Amino acid sequence: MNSQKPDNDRLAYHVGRINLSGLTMTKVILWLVALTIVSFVIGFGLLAFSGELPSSPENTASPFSQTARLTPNTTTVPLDGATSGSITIRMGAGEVTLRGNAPSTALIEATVFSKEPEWQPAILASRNGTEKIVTMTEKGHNGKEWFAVDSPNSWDVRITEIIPLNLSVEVGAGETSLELGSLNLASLAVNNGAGDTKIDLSHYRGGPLQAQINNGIGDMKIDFGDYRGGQLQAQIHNGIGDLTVRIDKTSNTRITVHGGVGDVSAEGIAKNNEIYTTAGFNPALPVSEIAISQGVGSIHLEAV
Amino acid sequence: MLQNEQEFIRIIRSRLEGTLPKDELDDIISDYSEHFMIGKANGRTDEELWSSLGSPEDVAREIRVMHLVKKAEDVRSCRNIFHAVVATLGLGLFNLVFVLVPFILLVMMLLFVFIMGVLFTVLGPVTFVYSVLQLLGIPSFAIWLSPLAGLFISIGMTTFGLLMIIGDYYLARFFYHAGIQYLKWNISVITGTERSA
Repeated sequence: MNSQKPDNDRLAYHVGRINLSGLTMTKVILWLVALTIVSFVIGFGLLAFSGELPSSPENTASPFSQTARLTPNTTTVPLDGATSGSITIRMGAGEVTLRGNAPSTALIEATVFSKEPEWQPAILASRNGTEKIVTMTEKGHNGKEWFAVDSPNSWDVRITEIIPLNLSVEVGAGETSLELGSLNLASLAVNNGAGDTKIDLSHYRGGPLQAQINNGIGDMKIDFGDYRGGQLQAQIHNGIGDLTVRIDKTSNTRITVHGGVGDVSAEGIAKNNEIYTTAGFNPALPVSEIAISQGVGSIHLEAV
Repeated sequence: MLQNEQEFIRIIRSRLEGTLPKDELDDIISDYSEHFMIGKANGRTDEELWSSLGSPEDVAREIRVMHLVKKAEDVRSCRNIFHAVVATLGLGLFNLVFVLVPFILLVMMLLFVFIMGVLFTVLGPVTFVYSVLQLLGIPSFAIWLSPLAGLFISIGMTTFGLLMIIGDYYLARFFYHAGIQYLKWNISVITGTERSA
């Protein structure tokens, strides 16, 4: 029998000759095709009938809870005639994005993507005279911590641009993206334990701003480019990670840097020991002060 | 360099020894000897016959390529097709674009399909076990939105992976055959061009 085997294609010969009680390769392939189709149809059918498979076009249809983008849960807190506001966002782990452009009658509009019920935040609103106070707090994790790390937990919060605000953001671990250029802020406090932080205050036109920004571990980018708001007082602390700060080159800005381990580079900014100033800096005029302390990592200052 | 029959034969032999079987090489040498013999009988000089045949290095290169392509056609193996492709590159630098690039892209595509097939085949049973453990109520293994659906999707993943591997094999066979035909066409175009030039 061996003499009948073609030398030119032994593998093809053997594959083609597989025969287990009449089971040829063609039959194996047909069985596999049938099994694949039936399995996927039943599996995704079960998900569809149970209502767990997202149908929204902006969400990725995935059978896995980790990668599923679930139907968002949106909550709106109305302005109710308030003339100022105080907003506190507290998240344990996940992604938080803050930006302006809330509906005209709303103080905030929060959209939460989260699978875990215990991760749905508690949103509490109260009044103190004409000030409206809102806290958005994650209720906390219990169990499933090992699994939950990669689960979707994403908050997208739109904030009013109409009234002045005190804004506080606290994130245990995760990505923080704050697009605040269109807001009117009185104060800003940001604390991120671990993860990257991005704060965009470019084109800011609001009143004087006091900012306290802390990042534990992770890279941080803060953009004050084209800042046209009131006097700026900012304190920035970055533990471990790279820090990039952009300022407006026409502003009257002084930056004090207390760097730890890592390089400090400056572009378009004059240096005098640990003090960096914009071109034409005049201490007699109102000064925007930025104080930076850095543990480990490089600092890049840039005037644009 | 002398342009006579002995030198022509010597170069051809030295270039093809080790590549062609001895009897095949002897046949080729015999053909060229006969060509010289008939030519000289008709009053042509060694130099004229040398010029009409072209450079012996080029002749040897073409014979080598054709032999390796034929060998790859007769005995299918990665090694043979690789040797054939490399030999074809020697026919001209432009074959870097017309042969080597398509060859590399093809190999990468086949490799990608194979790796994906293996990945699905291996991940299927793993996610199946996760489904079972999730059904048993162990939260650490809760990777599925629905564990029951996960059971079926895991089976589907495994069979799909197997189909990819099998499909990759047949795809490789198809492209092997098509590749040989392409190499033959490539050689005929190049040698034809050279002759006409």
